[in-house]
Amino acid sequence: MTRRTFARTLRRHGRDMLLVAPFVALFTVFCLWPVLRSAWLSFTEYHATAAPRWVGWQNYADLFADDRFWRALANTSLYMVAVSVLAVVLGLVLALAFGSQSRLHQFARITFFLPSVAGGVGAISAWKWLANSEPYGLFNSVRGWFGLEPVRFLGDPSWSMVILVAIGVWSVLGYNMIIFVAGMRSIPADLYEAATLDGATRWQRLWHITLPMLRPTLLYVGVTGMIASFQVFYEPYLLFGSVDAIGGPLDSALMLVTYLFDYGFHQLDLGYASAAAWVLTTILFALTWLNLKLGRASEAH
Amino acid sequence: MALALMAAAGCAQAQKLVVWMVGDDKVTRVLQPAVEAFKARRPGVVVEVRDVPWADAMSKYSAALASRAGPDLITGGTTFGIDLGAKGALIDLNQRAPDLVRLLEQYAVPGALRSVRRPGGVMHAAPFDMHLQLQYYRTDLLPKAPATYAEFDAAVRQLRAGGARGFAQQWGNTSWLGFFPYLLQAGGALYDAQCTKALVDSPEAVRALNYYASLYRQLKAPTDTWPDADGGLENGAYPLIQSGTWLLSSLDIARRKITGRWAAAPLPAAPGGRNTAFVGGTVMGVTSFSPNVELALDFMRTVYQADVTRRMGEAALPLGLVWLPGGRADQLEALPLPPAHKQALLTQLKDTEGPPNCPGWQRLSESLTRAVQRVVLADGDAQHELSQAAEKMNRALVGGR
Repeated sequence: MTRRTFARTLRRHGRDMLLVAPFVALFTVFCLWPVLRSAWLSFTEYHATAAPRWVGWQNYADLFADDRFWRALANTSLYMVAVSVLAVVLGLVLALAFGSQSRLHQFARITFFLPSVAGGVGAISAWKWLANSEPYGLFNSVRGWFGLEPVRFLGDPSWSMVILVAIGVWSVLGYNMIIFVAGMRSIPADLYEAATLDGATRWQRLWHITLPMLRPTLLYVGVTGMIASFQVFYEPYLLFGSVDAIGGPLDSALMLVTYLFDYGFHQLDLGYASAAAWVLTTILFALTWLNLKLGRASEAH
Repeated sequence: MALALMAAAGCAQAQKLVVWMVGDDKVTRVLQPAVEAFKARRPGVVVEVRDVPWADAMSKYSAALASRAGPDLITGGTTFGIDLGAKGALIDLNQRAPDLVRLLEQYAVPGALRSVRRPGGVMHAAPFDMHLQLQYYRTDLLPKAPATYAEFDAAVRQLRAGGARGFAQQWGNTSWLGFFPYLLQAGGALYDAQCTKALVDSPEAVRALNYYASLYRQLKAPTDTWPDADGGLENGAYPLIQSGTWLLSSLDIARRKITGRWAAAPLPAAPGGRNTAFVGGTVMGVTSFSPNVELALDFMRTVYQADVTRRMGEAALPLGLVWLPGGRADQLEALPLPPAHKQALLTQLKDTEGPPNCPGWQRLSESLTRAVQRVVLADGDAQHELSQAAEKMNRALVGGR
């Protein structure tokens, strides 16, 4: 760019640039720089107490050689698939069942949406009480009414994922439902009228109108749900983790973010934790790209 | 002139000592007697004490370490203190304050002191407060606390036969920490004295792990990471539990239904006679980037004075805490605790051991936890699992991850 064209650009867009400058500055300092710095740190040995020492790909090699990392990845993938699929399917079912403006449906929507605003540590504490492994835990009390033996929900590795998925789906179900209801409201009513005149059944209208028209919404809910569930942290940490066993029984609740948190903030191995974070970022990037690609392909179709 | 005035004002500014303590706001109130005693000796110094919740401690400390700015003194979990020291974040007390180390050698709980002393004498932190494992039992459901493994086994079977669920371990359940006392009671160890070799695959360790697993397989102890053992003690599901000394103060506050119907006792002894309990808690150290190292060391000397320690213990009681000075075991006798509780505590203190003082243990503890859990939860073979853990621990000792 010559000096003259630069001056012209500045004259033309100077005010715009000035307006976005605070955001750009904040974004650079608090987002871009830390991300780039963590990329660099992932190639170093860094314990926060001394200057980072360059180790090349060693952190990544160690990470891929650690069977706990693979366990965390497998757990996280299973959790992501289960929560994403169930939350989308059940959210859609709820949206179809309670999508009207009747008072009953509005009340139902509020009820299902509540977990999305009432989440956090308090909700996990309530779940901990519900899933208490003793006979006086609520789930076990209910089992007791039917003469069933109490189940060790929080102490048996085979139950860890079931409990986590149940909480994950419970916490996003209402949100997905609201997004789907909004998406369905944007579908032109005349499409349904025309289809009804042509003799389409309820099922055919759903399959041939609602679902195709909801594709962008489905894509949005799917992608954001997958990203959020891949970053699951506080649910497994609060329910199963302890200082001396962060992944719960037999690491059955060890997730990628818990894993990197453990290395980064319990063991101060920040270089290694950065490598884990970058693997997580790469996976999320690939998943998002794949989703968008599939979404665009089906849109074109 | 103005510059001279500014310089004079700077010189006149009070020296400030910043202390970060893990825990809630109560821990800072426990330290107040030490702050007051220190201020009496050093009137010009301002002492700022902040509490750092356990959940945030690691991230806050690491941020402070990375920026090389922050507290002059910190308290933290025992292994965290050792690891921070190994990474150069804490000064070596042995080198900078040998008088304090000599005092601790004389008065600290030996097991707690061994945990913070590296082979060769380097000591980056001093035992501050401590908790140790004890047995708690319902006096109306169990005539006396079991004193041996055989008595323990008989008591739990009897409780189960009577409709209760039996025994629950709370602190460290199904992890290395829960297994650790059984390992020592059997005569085993995690490492050799010089931290050159892992010993967790010894015959003693295998025997200990098989016994520990039998608590879950045969006596059906709960396997949750942190079972609701005190709740079970209250409602009678678990009339016999094993947990930390914090229950000495919290049971009568949180479990009022059983006030006067529970007691504490030392752990049951193994056939060899040992009843070692785990001792944990927090340690205190001076950060290596502190601009006030000498002042901070002087504060530590104040903390470990006999009368100050005693007043700190007394200050904790109205807050509903039992504050046990790991660095001044001689002051435990003076703590105004109920005599039966004190007796149990002092008896158990004769055989306690903290986490190993070998660098990297915090990271490696996971491999032992996994071995323990494979045997307890997945019927794994103790010898095989412990050998794998030992292999990983040995690999780390020679520089591997």
